[in-house]
Amino acid sequence: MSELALLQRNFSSYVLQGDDAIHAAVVEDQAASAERRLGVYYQAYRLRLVEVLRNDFPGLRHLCGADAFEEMACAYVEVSPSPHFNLRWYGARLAGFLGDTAPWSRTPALAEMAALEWEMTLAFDAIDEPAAVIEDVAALAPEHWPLMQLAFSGSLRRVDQHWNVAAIRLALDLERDIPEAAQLDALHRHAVWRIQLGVRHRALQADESAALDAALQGARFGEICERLCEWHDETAVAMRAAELLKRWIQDQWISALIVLGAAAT
Amino acid sequence: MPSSNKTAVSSPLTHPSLGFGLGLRVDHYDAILADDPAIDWLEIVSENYMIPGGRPLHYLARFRERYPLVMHGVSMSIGSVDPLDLDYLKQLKKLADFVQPAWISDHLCWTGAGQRKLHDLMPLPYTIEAIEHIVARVRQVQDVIERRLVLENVSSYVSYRQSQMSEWEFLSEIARRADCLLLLDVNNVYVSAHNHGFDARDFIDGLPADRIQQFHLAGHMHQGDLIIDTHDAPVIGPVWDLYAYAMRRFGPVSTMIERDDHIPPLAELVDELDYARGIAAPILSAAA
Repeated sequence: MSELALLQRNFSSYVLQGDDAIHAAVVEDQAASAERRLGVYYQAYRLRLVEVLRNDFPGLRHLCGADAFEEMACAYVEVSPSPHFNLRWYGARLAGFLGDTAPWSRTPALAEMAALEWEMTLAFDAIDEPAAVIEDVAALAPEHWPLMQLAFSGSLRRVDQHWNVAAIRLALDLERDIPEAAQLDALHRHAVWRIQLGVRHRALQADESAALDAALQGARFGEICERLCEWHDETAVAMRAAELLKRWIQDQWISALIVLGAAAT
Repeated sequence: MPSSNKTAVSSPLTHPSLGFGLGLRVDHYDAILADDPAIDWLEIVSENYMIPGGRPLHYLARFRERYPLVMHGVSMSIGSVDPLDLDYLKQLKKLADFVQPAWISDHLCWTGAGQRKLHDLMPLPYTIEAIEHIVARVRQVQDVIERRLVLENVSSYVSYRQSQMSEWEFLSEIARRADCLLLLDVNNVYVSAHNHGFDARDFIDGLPADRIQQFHLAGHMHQGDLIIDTHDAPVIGPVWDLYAYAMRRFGPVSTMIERDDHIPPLAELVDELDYARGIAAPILSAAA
């Protein structure tokens, strides 16, 4: 190993784990000891990564409380070295960490909030795509409707929640009274997406989430209607499917309507 | 047609000065667009825009229409023993194709090794081995970005026993051998001079005048026996003095103020930029 490689390996080990092999390579003088000088880098690494988490997970910080959040973030930093050059990705594994690691795993709302906020981060700077408009639907020939597939905006994501973390985060964003964390009576399904430059999230009804999940997996419109038959009788299915399609277009979830063998919009 | 009776004049290595600029920060997006302040150019942190889409790229497109832009990175890790991150370079080039920056800069440092990112500007040992390693990598980067890379001196808190030369000799040798340019961070010179006990003017005197592309100015924080490069305060008097010294030595060089924490209203930074203009004006007039 070259001298440069050895120095960088030892310095990295010091910053990441506190290993002291690098001390011998550092000049000491009357101004400051090697330990004092090296400590600047050791501390800066932790401060920087904790700050990234603080910025990306305000709802989680609210749930934890400021001091407990710092403690949790420091614990995450110790076990989660950053693999990517861009700090924007550093929080990717935080929800998993909270779900798997005591004491935080004993409060499931924490992992759920982290999961929601991470999806919001991804939606924030997802790729810009043109959105389909109602006129695109009107232009479809009637025989093409059952075959139609939907291409979705890259910013659209789905999250499922057992706790009211979406309501907490919404109240935080709107500076309203923030509800206490509470377990929900049933699983809540949410969509997270960006419209123009702002990130939004909203709850989905059971039939809407089933239809959306099917559409995201590439189901044709006819198959989506069949899926909706679980909630609606035959006379109402077409109306409900059209209603959902209209809402999804208005929310700018859909980037294109695709009919194989026909002109796409 | 060749002009045989004209004296051949070699082109300068550096780009002409853009004047006085600011580091573009989210806090000032709307104020800059609304107020059209006296800012000649903007420096963006490249990594903030190496993303698929959304608000940052939306604003970047608007700034690109109004201001000359310069790209300044923090993640190239030109001094690392890890292989160059080709994905990073590909994204950097893609951003540069969109931004059309006047130039692209990063730091003479390493930011991680063994695929673990430290997200800090780690100092290098000033050795022949490091020079040879870095020169080859700068050339590789310059092939990808299709222009000269601009390298900045970093603030440092450690120096190494194995160093064989001064920091300014190290910088100069890399710039000469790799045929790259330099971004002189005047505050970093001041910080490192304090932390390591050298004369900041020796640093400036030791750099190649024909390769200085840009100046950085910023504030810092005293933390006991060391000065930390925090970019969280106005530029202090001795750093302004050093800036004047650098301006006398290097002439009209694009000057820019960085602020990354305790970010004040835009007007305060524009005033600080005017202060830089006031320092530079008589020096440049006298030299003209």
